[in-house]
Amino acid sequence: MEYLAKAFTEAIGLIIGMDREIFTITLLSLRVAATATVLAAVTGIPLAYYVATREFRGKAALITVFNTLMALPTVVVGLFCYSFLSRKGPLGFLDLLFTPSGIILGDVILAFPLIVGLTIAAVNAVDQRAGLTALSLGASGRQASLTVLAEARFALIAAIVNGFGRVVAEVGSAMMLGGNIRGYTRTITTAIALETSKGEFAFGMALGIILLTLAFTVNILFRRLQRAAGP
Amino acid sequence: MSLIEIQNLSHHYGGRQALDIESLEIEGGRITALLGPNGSGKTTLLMLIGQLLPVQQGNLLVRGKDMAKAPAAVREELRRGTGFLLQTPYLFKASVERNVAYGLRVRGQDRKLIPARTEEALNEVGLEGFGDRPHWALSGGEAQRVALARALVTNPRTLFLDEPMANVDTVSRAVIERVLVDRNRSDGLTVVMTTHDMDQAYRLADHAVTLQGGRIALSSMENVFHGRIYRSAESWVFDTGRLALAIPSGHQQARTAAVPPEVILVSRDLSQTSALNTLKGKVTGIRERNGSVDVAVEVGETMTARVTDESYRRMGLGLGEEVYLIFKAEAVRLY
Repeated sequence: MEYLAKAFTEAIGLIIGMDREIFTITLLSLRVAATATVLAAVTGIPLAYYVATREFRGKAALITVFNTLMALPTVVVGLFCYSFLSRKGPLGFLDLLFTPSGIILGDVILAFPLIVGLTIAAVNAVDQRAGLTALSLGASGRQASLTVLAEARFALIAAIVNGFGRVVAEVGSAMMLGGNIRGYTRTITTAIALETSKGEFAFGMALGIILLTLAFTVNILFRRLQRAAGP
Repeated sequence: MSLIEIQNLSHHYGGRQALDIESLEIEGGRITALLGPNGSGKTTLLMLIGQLLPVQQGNLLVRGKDMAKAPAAVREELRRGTGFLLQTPYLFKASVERNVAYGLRVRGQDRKLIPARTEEALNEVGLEGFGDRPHWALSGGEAQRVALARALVTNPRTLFLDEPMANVDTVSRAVIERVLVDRNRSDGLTVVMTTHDMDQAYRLADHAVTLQGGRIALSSMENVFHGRIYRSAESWVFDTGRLALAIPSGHQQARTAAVPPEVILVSRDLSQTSALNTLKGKVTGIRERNGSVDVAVEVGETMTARVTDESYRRMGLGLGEEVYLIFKAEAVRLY
């Protein structure tokens, strides 16, 4: 226990002292996860709205696929992307392997089905009269769609928060596509894995505390937002 | 030209036919009630003429434009000139003020003007100071009034209402009725509303269409007049300004009179009668119905009398001919 307490004290010291490497790793993690989440949301939410509000052949099967892909193993995404991005792969000429952009690509693939699946559920949960009311009040089709999405805003934010949480905490894809290169592609999770294996518990623990703090902060902000909006 | 003209309009949900209207015209500047029981097709008709349902089959002309062929932009433009109130209003998850301002915002109105117009609309429906309330802190009647303010804030030319007084308290009902009549009289707002309340239709509407099983029923409301009551030497009189009707006593507060077409006798001569209402006029319209004929006669106002096929043939009535309409004071319904 003394050993753990010592590591914890050292971890707090590293955080308070704004250790340069921890700062760089955290910043990269945030940048990669935020970019991937934004890209997945920008493409996934319109697609999800379309799927939720239109009737077409294969709709149920498509929704099942998205729901299944929500639990896509990160190493499988890593493997899949690696095979495409490696020098011999069809997308090797892009030189994305072992770059932050490579990690972002994997993270987008991880966050996309989660955001799509949760957004479909969110739009389906909106009262059907919302779109009709918007149209009846003079909204264009696009304005009515945006109004329906606005009505589902808390569920949409939850979908985005979940997407962000998934990619900021994943390690398999980031490790395989980023290569865990110090100062370049080392994220919080890959650094924790590496430092722990090296016996650097304090460093890993400091990053773990930061990761948990991030998750708590995002969730607390989300809850406050929900409470402010009333029942 | 009528505001809305319908010819052979039908609508299906899946394989079920919900509406089948041969012919119908709705005039602008009037209050028209669509009457009928649940499932009679009145909401479907309202949604079709309000551009909230696409035309499947038949002709629907709004301001002379064929809705089946009109581009989406034209239909959207027409929709922007109207307001629509659903039976159970849906309020967006926002404050009352944001709800009422919605129509102004989607029309790109100057943001500086929005608060004043929103407040004005809330005052009109008797909800002063409600702007900051959240959408969930309203009673059913208040929510309906907020929805009415939201529909009226853009000053539409036409307002469609689906059972606006169902599920609301008496205070809200009175407010909604007052606002509809005021707007109709002062701004010429065209109101088309569904209701299953015949009394309400008589009280508010200038014209009514009764639907039954998706078709127009023969018993649509005719001969409805708005006016005031005074006492003359002989009887109580209901005066529309252009027509005076003898009425029974005891209805001094009434503002609407209706004379069912079936109770009116049509005669070429003024034979001896005890009926207090004997109105001379010219035939302006003849419409054959299933087993009967509607004869429209200009007697200051246009009144419709319903006679049997046999009577019509026997009298040999023609357009422009002079006839008398005869009915008792007790035949006049007052609301």
